[in-house]
Amino acid sequence: MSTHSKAAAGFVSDAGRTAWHDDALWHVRRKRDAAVVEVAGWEELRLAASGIKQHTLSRLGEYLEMFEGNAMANGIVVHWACDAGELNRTVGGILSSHNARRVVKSKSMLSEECRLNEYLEELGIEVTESDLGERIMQLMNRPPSHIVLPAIHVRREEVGTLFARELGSEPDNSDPAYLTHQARLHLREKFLTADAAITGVNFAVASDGSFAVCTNEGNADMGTLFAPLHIAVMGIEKLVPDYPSLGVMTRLLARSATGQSVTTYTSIYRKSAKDREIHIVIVDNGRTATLANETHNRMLRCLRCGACINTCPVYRRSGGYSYSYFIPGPVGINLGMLASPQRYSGNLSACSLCYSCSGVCPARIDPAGGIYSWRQELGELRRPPFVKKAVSKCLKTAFSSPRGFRTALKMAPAVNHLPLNNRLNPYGKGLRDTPRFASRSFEEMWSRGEVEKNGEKEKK
Amino acid sequence: MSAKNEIMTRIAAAGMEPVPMPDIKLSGGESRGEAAERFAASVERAGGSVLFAEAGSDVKALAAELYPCHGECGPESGGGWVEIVRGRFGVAENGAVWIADEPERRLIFAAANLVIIVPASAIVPTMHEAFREPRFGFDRFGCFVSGPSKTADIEQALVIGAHGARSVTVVVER
Repeated sequence: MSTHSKAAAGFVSDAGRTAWHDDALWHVRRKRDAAVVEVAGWEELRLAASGIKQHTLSRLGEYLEMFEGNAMANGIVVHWACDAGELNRTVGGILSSHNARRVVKSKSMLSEECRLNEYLEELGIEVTESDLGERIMQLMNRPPSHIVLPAIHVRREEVGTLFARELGSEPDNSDPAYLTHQARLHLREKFLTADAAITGVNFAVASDGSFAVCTNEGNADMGTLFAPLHIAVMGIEKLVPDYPSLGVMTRLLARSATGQSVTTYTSIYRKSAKDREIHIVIVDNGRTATLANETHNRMLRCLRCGACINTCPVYRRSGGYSYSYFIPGPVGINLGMLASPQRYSGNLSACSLCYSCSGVCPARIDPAGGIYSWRQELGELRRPPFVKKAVSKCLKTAFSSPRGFRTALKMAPAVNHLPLNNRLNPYGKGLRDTPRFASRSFEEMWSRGEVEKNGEKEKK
Repeated sequence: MSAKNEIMTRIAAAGMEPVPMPDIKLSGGESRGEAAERFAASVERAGGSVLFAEAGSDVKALAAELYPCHGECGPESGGGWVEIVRGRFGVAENGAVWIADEPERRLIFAAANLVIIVPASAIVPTMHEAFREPRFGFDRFGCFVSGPSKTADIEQALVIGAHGARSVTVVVER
């Protein structure tokens, strides 16, 4: 059994919860579809986004130089970091040189990737996640289970209990509007007293040295509005050449993510407010290695919209925690393999190759194709288990000789008498039944004229 | 070697073949006249409301009528019960309004209720036109605002008023 199916066992044992999770995600997928059909030329838009990202990646050094030069001219302080450790030390250094002890943070997948919060907390800095879903997960002391909807797996009653304990809200009140208002009051106090705000970057505009941050709650903006110091962290792949490119991306992002035509706030930062500072940290952390990988460098086009996760039938029924990499779903399976094939290859089995993800991806990354490629490469990594290898070898022998195949087929029904649904056969676990071999093959029936066509037997 | 040089060296070593920039020629394909109606529908879908008014109407009086004060109208961290700001232009396909720089920046996030004025003549069809629009200019900070602040982070139940304005009314001046 793969690491994924083992980790999913707990989640799928509660059938009601699995169905609820499945429905919630499918609802988001349907909202996406409704938003997409309203846009004339949606496929052209996807092609454009894919082309813009490919072009930018092919001249990445040039665009990074352009971005840095323009940002510095705008008074932004630019830092570079080769890996997670360097990002963490850089952010920690900026904060300590400003005597910043309390930080409000908006959602950033890069900071999750680099475990920035843990690092800062070890330095004694208080980090408060300000996106509601992220804050719920932070208070629960659990990681997000989805990149756009961090608490999608949590029920309202659990949030009610959590807020009653942590924020002193009314016990037994789990009305989402009430709970959201409690979070608003709690976080407002954090915004007003923060020494610094950390945000991610959705898109960085090379031609202007500016960057866009997209939220629905306005939490990134509340943080940067009140705190004297703003630190933005971005991966090197977040660049677009210019504003017309940003136009394409902003048309795609929210529609793909949640089915909204745009996020409530698309904020563009160019210069800090008077007597304030903006720092930006540009991070590699394995992205240049991905760039050099011709088969898989298309993953660098990813907008982190989560559309592939919402549509994935495996994710919807197994939940975010069944994946060993911190980003789940089709995109996470691929990114995990790029981060460390040794550690994350177990996730590769969490895919039925239905290709639904490739149909919805706004940057046309083809995550399913990526997973297929990784599976082909698995042999070289020596990861497939012995039994799978042995079975594949037998099948190869049988399928490559017609005589051998017929003999095997004739003998196959004998297997039906064996106890197939046993503890050693992972396929027969739970609600699934191992299919039976038919007593006679199609070929045999066909040659005897026993196959019915349009309800009648084929006359021979 | 500095981190920047290191990263630049790695990028050069990756040696990706040049890919040309695609031609972005995409449009919503509608005239500006129709745009105001589509804009209004988009604002409402984003959770905001729309009022059409004659240019030069008394928006202050209108705002006072829309948001009567019943005692709980104290300032919200630098913004008031209701604030009125002028948007530079609107976007028909998504109901967003471009609002730039101070003092508007502070008001749009700190106000409890927000009234945004946009001239009907300043509505563009899509985000393609938005970023090519001469009125897109800004100095330090700008924001496309589409409806009130919202979240669906608890069980996908939509709640209006997460951190920013709890309600947004866009006044379209004809």
